Amino acid sequence: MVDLATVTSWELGKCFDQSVLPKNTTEEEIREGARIAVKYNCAAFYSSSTYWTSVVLDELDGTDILPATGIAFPFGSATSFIKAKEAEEAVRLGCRALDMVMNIGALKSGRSDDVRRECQDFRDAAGDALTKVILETCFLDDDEIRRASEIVVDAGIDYVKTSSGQFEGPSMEHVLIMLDAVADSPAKVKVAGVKFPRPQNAYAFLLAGAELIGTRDAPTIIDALDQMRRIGLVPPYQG
Amino acid sequence: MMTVEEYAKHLDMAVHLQKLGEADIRDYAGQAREAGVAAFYTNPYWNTVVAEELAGSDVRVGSGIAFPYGCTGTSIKFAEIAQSLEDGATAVDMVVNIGALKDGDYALIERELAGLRERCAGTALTKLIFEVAFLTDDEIVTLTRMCCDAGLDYVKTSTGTEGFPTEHHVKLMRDSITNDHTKLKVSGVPRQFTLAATLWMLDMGVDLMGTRSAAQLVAQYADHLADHT
Repeated sequence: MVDLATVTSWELGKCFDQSVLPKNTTEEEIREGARIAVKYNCAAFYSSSTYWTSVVLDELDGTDILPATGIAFPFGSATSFIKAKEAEEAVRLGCRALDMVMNIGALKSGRSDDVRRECQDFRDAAGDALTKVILETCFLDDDEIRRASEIVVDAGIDYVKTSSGQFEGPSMEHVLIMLDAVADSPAKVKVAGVKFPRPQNAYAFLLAGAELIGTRDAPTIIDALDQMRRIGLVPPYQG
Repeated sequence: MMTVEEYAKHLDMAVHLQKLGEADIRDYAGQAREAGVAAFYTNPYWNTVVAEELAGSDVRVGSGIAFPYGCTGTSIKFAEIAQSLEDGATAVDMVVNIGALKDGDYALIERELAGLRERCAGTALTKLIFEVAFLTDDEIVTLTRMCCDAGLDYVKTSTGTEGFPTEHHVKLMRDSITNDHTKLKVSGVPRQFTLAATLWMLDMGVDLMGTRSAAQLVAQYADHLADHT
């Protein structure tokens, strides 16, 4: 968890996954988004699928920013077989972080074994890449969020992630349930899909214990660090 | 006048919302079967369940491919088509890669159309979803022609997840069809698919309408016929 009292704007970048996801995205928008990720020292840059991966690699070449992609994005209702195949292809093309959308229809139907299997198959297919599973918490009740998080932890996934950003974002309650569910495991929590006001929300989730924030606009949040210190949401700089 | 059975075959019922569970899917599939619509669509994970519910009926098992984004890799789309057919799909709606279209990567789109057609030949109807709300008129015309050249069964307006088709889009697609084979499917008109609207679209030359409320529309048409005969 980041220490907001000692972090600089540059270091803070590593708490953010920058993304450009809309389906009508063009090459230039992907390039621009990747350049922003480089400029702000983000952890990763995401496109919604591997179609853009070669362009992303081109822009991130020579940096430590992870080229990343969504898997079965944003519905998550593809079969486990297709999800694993998509993950394999993503790794082959050079992605180093993969966010797979969980099949929440299966979860809600009590088909937990299918959800477990898709998480494990995804984990295996991802090889050395960072793995994150998206829950879409706005469609889940508290118990489902807990169960989903536990499945993700059991499968050895690196991050449990709140949302795709295509629907309602998560609430603080959702995130706290997820944080509790991963507390005794190596898994971490990524918060994404939060609507306005972006900066305050992002800092609140980082203070709550989220390790990563997924956003289309990391600069607005990172640039607000001094403002957050001024209003007391973030402690004064003691670095 | 069309019979109720004929009217029903102009409707595809679709339930793509990812939070729906097995009981919902079975329930909707049962409604589709009862109403005698042309096809019932869900996401690939549910194809086997839908095939089971529709077994022995003439309602097609519909599968979305790369739904609703359309920008997965070509090989993933093909694998998803193959698996959907194995799982019992008899109608396959693939979403176009809009980014590729906008960047002029027509070779990729032609490859995906040919692959769809080839894999579904003799087994399943083929439809390409455009997401017209994101496209220019030129892009819509170009893509319609490409689908006709590829011998697809339908060009389809929208996924229904974002952006709505307008009358202008529908007419543009209709007027851009270059053969006698390829037909027009309109979908993605949330909560506006009234009976009157469907009849107006049929008059306009639309062959299929995709909507979650297909079963209600068939019931309304039956009432409408009873009132007028």
